[in-house]
Amino acid sequence: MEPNHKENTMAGKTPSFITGATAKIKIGNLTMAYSQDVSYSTTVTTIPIETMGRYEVVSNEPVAYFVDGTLSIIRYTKEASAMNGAAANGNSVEQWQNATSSGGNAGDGFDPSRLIASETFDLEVFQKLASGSTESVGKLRDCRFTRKGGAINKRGILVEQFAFNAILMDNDSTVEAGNSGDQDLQA
Amino acid sequence: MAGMKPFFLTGANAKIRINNRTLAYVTNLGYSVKITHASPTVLGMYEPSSIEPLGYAVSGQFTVVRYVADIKDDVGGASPNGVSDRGNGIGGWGPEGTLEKFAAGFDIKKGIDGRAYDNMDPSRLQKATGFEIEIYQKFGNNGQRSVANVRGARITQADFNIGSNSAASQTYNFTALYVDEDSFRADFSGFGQQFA
Repeated sequence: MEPNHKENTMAGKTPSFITGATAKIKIGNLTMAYSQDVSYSTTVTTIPIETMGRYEVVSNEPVAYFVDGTLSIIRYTKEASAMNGAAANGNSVEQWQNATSSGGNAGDGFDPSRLIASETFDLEVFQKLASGSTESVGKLRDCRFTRKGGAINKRGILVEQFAFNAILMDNDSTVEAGNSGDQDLQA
Repeated sequence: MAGMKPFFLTGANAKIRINNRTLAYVTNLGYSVKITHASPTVLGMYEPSSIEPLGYAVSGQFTVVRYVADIKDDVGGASPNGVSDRGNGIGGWGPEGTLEKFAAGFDIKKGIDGRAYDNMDPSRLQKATGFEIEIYQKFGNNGQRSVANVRGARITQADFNIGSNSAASQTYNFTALYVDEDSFRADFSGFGQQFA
């Protein structure tokens, strides 16, 4: 009997893992084209409970939860609008208007005159599937930009880096992260 | 040892209640019980003959990150978790008024006694009553257990601070009559008083 070459050689497989080529980033429900990378980090700080008469710590107690991350975007201006995926008005942060008009115009976070009216935004990472649909991988909720920087040099293209922090990080493999707080003055 | 859950009381799992109302946005709380002593020394001895307790006094402080009433309506958009429509000024730390007090009965555990804000209003200081501060540890099953109870507290000082790069905070100093903990209850010592 002929061996099952298809099984042995694993031919016929479609891309399974999320990569830079299959990733899709949405900020405030707006697709981030020309996004070069995104990274995020959830940190849980703990304090060791140490007691006299023991060498080891009794336990490590969680005391805080932080979320932050970075992303970078290849910048272009409105003159480049003929490129595939390029927006008519360029891709500066001021153009990142929430597609659903439900809050989170990211550019407000960098304008002192609008900071007081700025709103948080959600950043979601998707995997693009061969079927044309997408699958959410992770969602960072209530983000705010904390830093923006750009760099250009000879033989390079302009890339802007952004740092942000967030309140909660949801992952597609776990239950939705929830808040741990109490309502004030509600007995 | 896998499978351990948060075990000890920390700032992250603590819950502070004043007059049975949750005091969210509190950043720290401390209390101190001071028992003054005197040591009688007598002729003919190097060491004190005894150490005599003379007094018992409770004091402490806590800090609250302040926001104003109706902030949700005025700012609009989504609000941070735990924000109350009433704001978190000291005026919210007690019953609304006399009617609520009568309706709830005179049970201190229902939070009907002790209008903390009376301690901050010169026109009402004369009728101001003490209030309770209770410290709880929260558990993963949404349960909570009381750790300490500060009874008969009165605000003695309120300091407001705001600065560049910081949120407005208000620090309150208080004095109180007793501190109970979950392992004991501090009790009245006035036995044998004259004219009782």
